[in-house]
Amino acid sequence: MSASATRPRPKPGFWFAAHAIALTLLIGFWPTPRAAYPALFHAHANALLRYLESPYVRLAPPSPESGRTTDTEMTGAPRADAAPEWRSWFSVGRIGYWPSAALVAMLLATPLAPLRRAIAVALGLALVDAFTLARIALEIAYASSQRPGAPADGPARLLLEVGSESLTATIPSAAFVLVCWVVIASPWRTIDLGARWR
Amino acid sequence: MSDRDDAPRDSWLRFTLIFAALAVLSELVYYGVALESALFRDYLAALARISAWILALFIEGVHADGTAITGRLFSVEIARGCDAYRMCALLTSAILAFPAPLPRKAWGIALGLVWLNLLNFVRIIGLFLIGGYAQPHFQRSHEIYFPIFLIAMTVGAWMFWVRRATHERFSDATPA
Repeated sequence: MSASATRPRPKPGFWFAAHAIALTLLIGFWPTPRAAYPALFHAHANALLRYLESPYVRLAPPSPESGRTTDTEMTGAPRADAAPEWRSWFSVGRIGYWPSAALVAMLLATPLAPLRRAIAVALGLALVDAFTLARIALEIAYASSQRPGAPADGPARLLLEVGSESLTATIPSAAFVLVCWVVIASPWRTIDLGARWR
Repeated sequence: MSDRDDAPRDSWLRFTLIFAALAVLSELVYYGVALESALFRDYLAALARISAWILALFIEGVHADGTAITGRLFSVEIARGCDAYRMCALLTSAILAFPAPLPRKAWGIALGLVWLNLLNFVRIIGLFLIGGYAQPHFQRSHEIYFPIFLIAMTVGAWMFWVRRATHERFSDATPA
């Protein structure tokens, strides 16, 4: 008897994709977690940013006078008691919540044992959160490099500029979510894309 | 685990890493090179001209002015992000990373790019019409509904290509 005879039949790739897209939309538009996410993210990001002595960076909802419609305003100051030197506006819903929703949806759509699925979801959410924080750290580094007296142009500054410009871009999130899903869920055992892999 | 068992895992990992690397590279090209180029500005102006021409078939007085589409109903600027570059880059990366014969990749990329550019015109024209006739829904359509629609269409196009590019496997009998 071959090993494949004892394994459950792999889920067809088309079914998986349809399932994952439908679940992404359901989770993504679910009002309660969607509304709660920015405040939760700000709270734990601010707790981590407190360890950064300089610049003093805070995430908060945009002030009404800013007129911004995004969910996050990031301010940076040289010290805690100083006036902000720079501000940046972006949506953590876009760079954190939607990728989390997509990864959870992909893990739910993948045939996995319940305990394995629960661990995979927890790990996946932690990884997406770390990736979101890393993108914000890049934005902080870029904003700090724009201050007077910062080092002049160079490849590092160009990379920071690209990182800042692409802060809310979808492709890095999509690539990261796919890598996380493949590493966490081992889809080669459970999904059949119908491909000749060799 | 035998070599035979390792093969699908290695193929999945290879696909994922190549795809991620190509996707990130395309972002570097987009933000580091393309956005500031004259060619890209010409491309945005061409998008505006073609969209305005299509809209003018149905709505009187719509015309393009540089990268803006202007009409009595509404005006919209074709800015960075309104292009189809990133969807095309995503699909191209996914097709290039997938193990398939080169000619199949070539036709997949060619047809996929045409398809995604057509859908991008649907987005631009749709947003112009929503801005003109249903203004309160413009922001959400621009930032949420159309991006999700286009990403779903990109994933769908890739899945369709995978199915077509590997279709002969479905007729093969798998030995037990």
